[in-house]
Amino acid sequence: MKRPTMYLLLLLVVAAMAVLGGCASLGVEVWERDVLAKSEMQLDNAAVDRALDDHIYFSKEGSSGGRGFGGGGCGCN
Amino acid sequence: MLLFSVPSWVTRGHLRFLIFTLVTLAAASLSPRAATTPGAIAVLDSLTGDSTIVRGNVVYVDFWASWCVPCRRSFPWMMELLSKYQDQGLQIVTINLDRDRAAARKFLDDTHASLPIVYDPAGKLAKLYDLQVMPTSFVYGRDGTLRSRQEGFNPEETGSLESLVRSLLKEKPTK
Amino acid sequence: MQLGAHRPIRTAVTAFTATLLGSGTVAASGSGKIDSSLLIYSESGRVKVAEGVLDLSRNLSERRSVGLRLTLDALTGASPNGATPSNHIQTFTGPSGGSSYVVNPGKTPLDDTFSDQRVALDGSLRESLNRITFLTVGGHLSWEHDYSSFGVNSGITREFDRRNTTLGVSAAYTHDIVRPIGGAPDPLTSMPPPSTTGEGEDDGGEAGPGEGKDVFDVVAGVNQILGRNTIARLDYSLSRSSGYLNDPYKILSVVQDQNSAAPGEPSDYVYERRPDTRNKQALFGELRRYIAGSTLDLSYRYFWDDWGITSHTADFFLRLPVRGDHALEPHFRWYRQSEADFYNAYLVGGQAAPNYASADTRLAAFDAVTYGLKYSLPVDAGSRLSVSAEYYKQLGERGPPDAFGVLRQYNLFPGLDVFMVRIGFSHEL
Repeated sequence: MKRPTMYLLLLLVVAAMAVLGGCASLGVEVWERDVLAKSEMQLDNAAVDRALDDHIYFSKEGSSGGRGFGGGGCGCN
Repeated sequence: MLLFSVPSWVTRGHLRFLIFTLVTLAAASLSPRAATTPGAIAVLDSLTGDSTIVRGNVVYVDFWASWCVPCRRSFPWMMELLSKYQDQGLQIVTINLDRDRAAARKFLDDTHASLPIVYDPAGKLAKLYDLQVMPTSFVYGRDGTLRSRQEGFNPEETGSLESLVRSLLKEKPTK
Repeated sequence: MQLGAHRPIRTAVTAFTATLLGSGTVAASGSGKIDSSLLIYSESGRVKVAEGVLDLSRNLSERRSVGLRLTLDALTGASPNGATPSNHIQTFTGPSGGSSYVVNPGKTPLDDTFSDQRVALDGSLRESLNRITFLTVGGHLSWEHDYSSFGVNSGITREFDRRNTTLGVSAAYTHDIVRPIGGAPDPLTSMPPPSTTGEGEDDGGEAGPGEGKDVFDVVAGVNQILGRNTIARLDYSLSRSSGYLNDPYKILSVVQDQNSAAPGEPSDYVYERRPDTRNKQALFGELRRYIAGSTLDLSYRYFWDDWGITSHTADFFLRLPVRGDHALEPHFRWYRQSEADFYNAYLVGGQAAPNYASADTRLAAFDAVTYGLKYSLPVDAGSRLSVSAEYYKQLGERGPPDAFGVLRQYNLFPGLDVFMVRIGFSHEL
């Protein structure tokens, strides 16, 4: 891996750690999730569309992967 | 300054996470969980003003919001519970946490709900009760002590909740 | 199947697992959901595809849900076979050896002897082990004329801090069997001369003996609620493939060198050769924000593998509400990739043959953009209809600096111009 790439990667990892490390200050109370409960705020709300996209771009380009799983939402039950 | 040398791979993020964990553990040890949950009806009474909680009743307190699907599902069951046991001394108080009052009103109109409601848009009561999930309900016995904390609403578990209410109603009313 | 010349393609198994690993959304939406979409994909002058997806998810209880996805597609049309244009007519042998096709002077050689259909089935079961932990297991099967695939996958997610943080990891294993029509050709050997039976359709050709391929995928990620209106995620994915990774239908032109009588004119065609292992990694970040009724989604993916390809993908989605619970959603995607180490637009006769070589433009350096617009509206209670149109364009190196002879006259990156239309329908059960 080239040097600039490595630094970019390290930056992203540190950013992730900062996000996790600063957990207490991030996030909302369980009763403040009205907006997050909306269907358009679900990370996996367009699963079929994204699957079709993945298929198209996998066929025509040299890259793949990336998108993981969903989270967030209303946090109910 | 340091008593030991920090490995070079340790980042600021690691240290922040470590500090966060230590502070949380300290805070948790100083304030045990039970103390954050009001154990007496009196607290609810003093804060909700416009609800009339009758001493000696079994009180079912339910926190809900219109955007919470399981909360919506619990309403028909609560209304049925009230109609069954109201005469025996069951009282239900629902606390609405919608920031948008109109959304709450729309839900109530759509479902023709007729349960007593307390509006807590700023979440003050929710914070006091240290809510961890929506919905959460609390059942108080006739003596005003907290008997049950139910997190979430599961139709499969309503049976055992109803049995609890029945057994609490059988207890002698306190003078 | 991929949307082009027949090349082994592994469908995105993890994308389906991801749907069900999404915590809370299935359980919160009543007893289930039907989601369907029909895609019409058309490359100008080349491949046309119709693809339909039917996605069913059902909550069996508060703790358990199942999902099933059926995908059907049909493909027809021509795609570049990897050879370069020439001033003369070129004749290529069809895959089964019993037919051939002819390309006029000056044209990018396209192989139009295929049409195919594919069926794929994905199943998944999701269970909540406790209120904040979810386990998913799934399977995948797909079939087409010369390619079949089966796979299994599993994932686990756990939530922290009042369910504001979700950590998850999933893994998938897939085994593919490629049965190229006419059998897998010997890589870097010459294409046999066309037989004398003339031109013809080739889709009755016999699929030859199978070649296998194993793919192992792992995805690990974190989702974090950043505020009342914002959620973000970061995912790392790793994919290892081993086995038969060549495209059995792709060739390279071996052109006459600069000192010859006809520099740049093809003297031979050889089948491509790729390594038999590939390690891919990607880092993906996404931010979704609700702003006064509209929803904005920005994402970026950095990809790198051991074939020398690195790429950047940036995606922009905006959802604008329209009166009556309708919505208008513009979409823009930008993509840039570098070429694989062994990518060669052509080989030069007389030079030492490389270990690996491919002229597949999928492995070339190029930029691509997508512009899209989607409109959706509610129909009946719990149902939603959507229509979208998209345009996708690839721009690559049309005139590599080291091109010589006749190659200088031609566009050596066939490019791509694609129009897509989608119709989607979803219904909450």
